[in-house]
Amino acid sequence: MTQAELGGATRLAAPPAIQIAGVTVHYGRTPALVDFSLDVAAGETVALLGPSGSGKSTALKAVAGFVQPSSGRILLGGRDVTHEPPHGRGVGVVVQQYALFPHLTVAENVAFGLRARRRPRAEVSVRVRELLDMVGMAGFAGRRPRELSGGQQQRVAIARALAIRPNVLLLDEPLSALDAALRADMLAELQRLRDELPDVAILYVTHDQGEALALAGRIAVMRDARLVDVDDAQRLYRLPPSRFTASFLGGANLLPATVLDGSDGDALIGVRIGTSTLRAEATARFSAGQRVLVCLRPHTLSVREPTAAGLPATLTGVQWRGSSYRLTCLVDEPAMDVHVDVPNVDGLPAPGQRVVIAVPEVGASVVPDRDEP
Amino acid sequence: MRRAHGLWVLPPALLVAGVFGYPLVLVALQSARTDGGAWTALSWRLVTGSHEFQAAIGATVLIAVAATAGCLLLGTFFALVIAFVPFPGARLVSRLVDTMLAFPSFLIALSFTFLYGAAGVLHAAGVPISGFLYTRWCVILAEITFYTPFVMRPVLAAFTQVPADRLNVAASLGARPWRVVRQVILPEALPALAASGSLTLLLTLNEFGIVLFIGAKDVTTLPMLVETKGVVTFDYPGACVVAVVEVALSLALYSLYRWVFRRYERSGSARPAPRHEPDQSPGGDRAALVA
Repeated sequence: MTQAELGGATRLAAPPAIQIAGVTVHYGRTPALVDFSLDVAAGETVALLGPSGSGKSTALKAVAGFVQPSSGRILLGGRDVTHEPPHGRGVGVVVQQYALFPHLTVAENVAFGLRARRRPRAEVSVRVRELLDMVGMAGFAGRRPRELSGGQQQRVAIARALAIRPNVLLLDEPLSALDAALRADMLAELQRLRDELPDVAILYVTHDQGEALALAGRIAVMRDARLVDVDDAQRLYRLPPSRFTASFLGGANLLPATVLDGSDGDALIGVRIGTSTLRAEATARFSAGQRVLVCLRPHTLSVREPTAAGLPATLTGVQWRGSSYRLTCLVDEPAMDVHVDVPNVDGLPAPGQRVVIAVPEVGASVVPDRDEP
Repeated sequence: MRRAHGLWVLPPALLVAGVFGYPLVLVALQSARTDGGAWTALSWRLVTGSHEFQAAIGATVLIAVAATAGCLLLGTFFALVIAFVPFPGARLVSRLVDTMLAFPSFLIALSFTFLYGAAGVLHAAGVPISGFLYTRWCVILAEITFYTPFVMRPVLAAFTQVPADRLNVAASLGARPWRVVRQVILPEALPALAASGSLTLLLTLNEFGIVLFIGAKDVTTLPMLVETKGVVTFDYPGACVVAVVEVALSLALYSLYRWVFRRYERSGSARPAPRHEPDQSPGGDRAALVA
């Protein structure tokens, strides 16, 4: 499936900063990436999101030149770099474990790319100071990587990648080695950096949907070495085009349903779940009577008295999550568990109690029953 | 408690003292005593004043240093190729290296005789190399051939420990392969290079089999001189003097080698960092973030 077929492609006048056209990569005989196409414009952040083994890191390595595609082309700023070695591509790369050079100081690490490019000593020194200021590491210039914490090492790795003024920045799970609190801080730091680099195209590989939603303008969801969906992050979350994207991006309740009135594209259509009917947003062509899935995000739902309109259910579990409760409700028809996230309020129903799950007017979306192979 | 643990060192220390230290002391005593047991410096004066002894020291050091340098260069190069330049049969070559480590050194000397000798392959092929077999350069070449795997094995192990990400990132920053080798790979393999170089230096200083089997004219090393004095001319006190000097020379050169390497580590790019714990305080990371 190509990006154009998937929809949501940005129409670009200038050549995209990154253009991946039908790239396939094999590790031995195993396909690690199959017919992958994606464009990233200058100044845009695109997240490659998927589980382990989905091919997202391979796609990034292909752009960086670390792996050679068996077919397809890679263009950077319109220049075909498919067969160019990594040192000729001029992209900044930050990897999961930072890959700082342990025998060099922080300043020497940041200067590495500039020295490799034989920049004048004075320019190197100014640029290193500028970058260390930018990432808040100016006071650590003389330290070795092993004297730094994970977050500090990550900032040095980013400074090192940016020192060569790349038009393309590739981030391969840069936060995954950090603990939860530090990850939240670094996420904010990356958002700030994003604003300071308006012309840099960023390809951000992650398996964490929270990072993808927080940082990326667009998200490309991957599975089994293939691109599944790519679209604007908010739209992809609100109106997932496939069952996999619905469940992987944000977690969703997917209930089997029947379309009551067909649609040719973006429309609010009626669907029946068991004996209940409700309105759900559709983004593709659906015909009346078609079997589909309805995607209900847990945080959009609420529980009401049994007499209210909605999906009748029995509350089977309550889980406290600090800022909210997760309620597990067994829907009468079809007999499936539905998760509902409600804020910390008094008067929660007790397990065993009959309830109705209320679905807001714009809180449900229609997803095809089966994903394309 | 600590003293109780220290007692465990005693048995191996006694063993080493008994099987190595005691004979060494006997050799040292023999070099400075007459047959009647009286102390004398005569043997030392005669041996150390002889031209033969001084030439042997020069030849021993020259051959050992040249062979070690050759082993380091060649071993590092081969290890780089095997570790980072994918080619069919790399694993087989790696296994062959292991096999060579098990060979006795005189086999190399014998194979050199078949290659470079008067009735050797090259001579038969018309290559004008007569006489090469009996030069010190041939001894050096033979020692390089034999001892290169001693460098290759640990260096290869060190190279395989360098994370691929580090090499990839260096390349993405614009470093060409030679710069990646110089500035990323070699500094990380420096401890392995230092260790294997030390080992090779000590082994080549005391190499006996290769020099004896090649039978190079005018190439008398200290181990050869010990053999000549002790077995051929029955000058046992003289042999003891040479043996003591050889042990002292080995230790001195080894110390010099370590000192030079340490200086390089401190002044060069591979200097080790002082041991500081990362800033793990609650605000450690965040403080820098805000800065």
